[in-house]
Amino acid sequence: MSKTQRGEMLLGVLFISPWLIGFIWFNLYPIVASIYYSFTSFHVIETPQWVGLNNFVTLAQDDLFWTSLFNTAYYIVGSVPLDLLAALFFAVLLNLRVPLRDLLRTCYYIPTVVPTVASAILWIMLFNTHGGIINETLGVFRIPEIPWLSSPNWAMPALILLSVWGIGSPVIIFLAGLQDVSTTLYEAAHLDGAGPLQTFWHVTVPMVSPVILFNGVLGIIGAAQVFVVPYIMTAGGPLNATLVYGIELFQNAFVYYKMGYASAMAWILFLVVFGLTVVSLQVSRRYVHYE
Amino acid sequence: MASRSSASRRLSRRALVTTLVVGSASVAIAACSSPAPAASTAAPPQPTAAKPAGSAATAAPTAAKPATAPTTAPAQQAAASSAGKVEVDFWNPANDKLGKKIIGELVDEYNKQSTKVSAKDTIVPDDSHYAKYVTAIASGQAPGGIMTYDYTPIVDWASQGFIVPLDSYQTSNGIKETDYFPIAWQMIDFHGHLWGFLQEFDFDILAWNKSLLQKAGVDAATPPKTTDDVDKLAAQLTQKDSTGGLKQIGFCPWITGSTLMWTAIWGGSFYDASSDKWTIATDNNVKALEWYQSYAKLLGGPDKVTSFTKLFTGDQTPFYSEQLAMEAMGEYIPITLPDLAPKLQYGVAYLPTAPGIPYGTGQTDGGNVFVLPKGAPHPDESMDFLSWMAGPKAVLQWNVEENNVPPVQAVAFDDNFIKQVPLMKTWIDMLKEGHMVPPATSPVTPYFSDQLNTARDEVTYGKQSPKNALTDLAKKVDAQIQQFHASHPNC
Repeated sequence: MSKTQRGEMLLGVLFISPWLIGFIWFNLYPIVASIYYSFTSFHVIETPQWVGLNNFVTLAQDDLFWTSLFNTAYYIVGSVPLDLLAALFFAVLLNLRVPLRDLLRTCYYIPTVVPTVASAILWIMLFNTHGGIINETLGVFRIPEIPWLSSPNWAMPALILLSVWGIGSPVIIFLAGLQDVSTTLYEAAHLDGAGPLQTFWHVTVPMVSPVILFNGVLGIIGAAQVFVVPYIMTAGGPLNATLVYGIELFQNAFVYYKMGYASAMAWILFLVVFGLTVVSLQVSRRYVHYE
Repeated sequence: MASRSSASRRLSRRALVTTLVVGSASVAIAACSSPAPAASTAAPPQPTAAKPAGSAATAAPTAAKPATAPTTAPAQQAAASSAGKVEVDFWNPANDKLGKKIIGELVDEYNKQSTKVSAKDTIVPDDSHYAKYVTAIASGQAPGGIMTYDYTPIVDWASQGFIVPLDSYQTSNGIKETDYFPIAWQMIDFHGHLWGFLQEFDFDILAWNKSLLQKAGVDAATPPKTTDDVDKLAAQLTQKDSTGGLKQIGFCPWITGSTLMWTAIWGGSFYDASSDKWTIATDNNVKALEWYQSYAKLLGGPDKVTSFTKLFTGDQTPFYSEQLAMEAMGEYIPITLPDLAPKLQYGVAYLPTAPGIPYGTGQTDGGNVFVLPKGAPHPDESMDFLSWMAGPKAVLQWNVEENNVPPVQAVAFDDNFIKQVPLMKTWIDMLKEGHMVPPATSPVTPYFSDQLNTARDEVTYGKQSPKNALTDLAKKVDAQIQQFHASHPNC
């Protein structure tokens, strides 16, 4: 490396040094430390004691671990496809040349910037069995009241429906992807006599499939780590119906002070999400089209 | 185009960027460095305050310095002021209006009379299981003293090593177990050590809405004394709308009051402190959950009850809004109730009890505790302050103004004290009956409490019978105890 190149590299490192210091101290060190803690019995204030795979073996025998894993899988399977469909649908609509389009785009993005806790408290009222807007609207169509957050059968569907509230970011990303679709393709489809639905299915979807993959992977990662909304709205109930992985991990770490156990849970979650990402990428080879 | 000589005199882009980056990094590192210890304000020494008139002789800790002190804190610089006072950072969760006022006054009064210590009143809300307190202790930045609004963290903190035993201070401060209510003493003295000083303790009794009973044609002056009486009234006073939704609830054991308390009135108990054994799947505990099951049937299921209770937010409760006829009420409620429900006409009496169980049976709900965190910078000075805060004058002021129960029997039963807290007479009378059940002080109590709620829900939702739910709970708690002892062999 020449002197000039070394100088430029040093300058680049200096330039990013504030971020680098923060990343190493607040991200990398805790990540590496938690790998170690996952093989120890660590109760915060005492010296960690090495226990090998004991935490992982105990987790395999813990009913609440499997309950939380199942509930999180339920949430991922329900919310990710729903959010992708909704985001793509609204992005296609917001891509049309309609009056006040910019205002509409802003309106659909605003929920993303509302603090999550405030949203959760708001949605507790909306989901209220008596007097909540959702049940009142269903009542107009003579649909009986649904005990959304107070029923073990309906609590998780309520949270899945709520996830659509935060599709602002995927909508923006889909909009960017839709801009990249060449208009000549639409013209060609139109000339071939394709209708709107055929155009959407045979032109738009294949062309934005990389964006669908991107949003899908991000959606899985986000859904697997869901915590704030179920913690505020249902605290994992009723009857552990919304006890997601994040809440169980939080309980073990900060309520029962079993940091080693919670670290093991965190790394299992990482492996699960990593595995799902690899599967998504493998599946994408067949269904995602790159130009 | 600039000449070579003028270009060499100008600051190059590379040099400018280098200067900016190095400067920013320096500022960031300087900003992240520890602040210099702050000097406390110099306060002139004040004479010691005299004991208030009417306070009974008590063995509550005085401000005397202990003969020996457990020094656990690493060596740290003293925050000495020009007057030589050591600052003790006192973390407390008193962010409510009344609590904040009282603690502020007590801290000010202590600072005026202390020549060696200056206490700093730092309000740290107790949200999320006191996580901030634990984080501070774990990171080596423990405050000088901690006050909690409930006792359950104390058990956990003691077993995990977050707080320091106060055995030596017990002797030097003349604290005697016999002066305390046994149920209060067991909150702070367990597993062979004294872990804190108790400021007050809480428990619930029965409150009923006189107007609702009168409207239903029931004698509003006579309280229900047995569970059968409560069940009959509950059936009479529960009202539903055409869809089966609840408009008014007569009584529901899981809306107010703990499962532990409502089990106690059936003669049940989940934990035996004397043997440190859990007694979960006993016949009386099963009967208590069968009683819960009967209310789930009466009210149309727990989801209907949850839908009903979710209508009330903030300080408003179904009882204050006169839509719940009977509830469990803590002794600290009557003093604030006139502000929240000025038109409410209510009566209070002992909790109802199941057949064969003495009238006046109840269970402690919690209490305010002062503890010394591990790693407190100045333990002796901290204990001087905490001893004063748990001393007769400060404890009396708190309990009179907050309408709480003092932990020392002589103070609680003193006529002068009761005259100052007339609203609390029924609670004090119930203590005299002597049928209170002590709290659980096992290290796995937080886990047990969470799983007990799940077991209760399984019963009320009809997923499990009470016997099976409690048997499963017992197995889970046993597994946790084994895990705890495996990781804490010396505990």
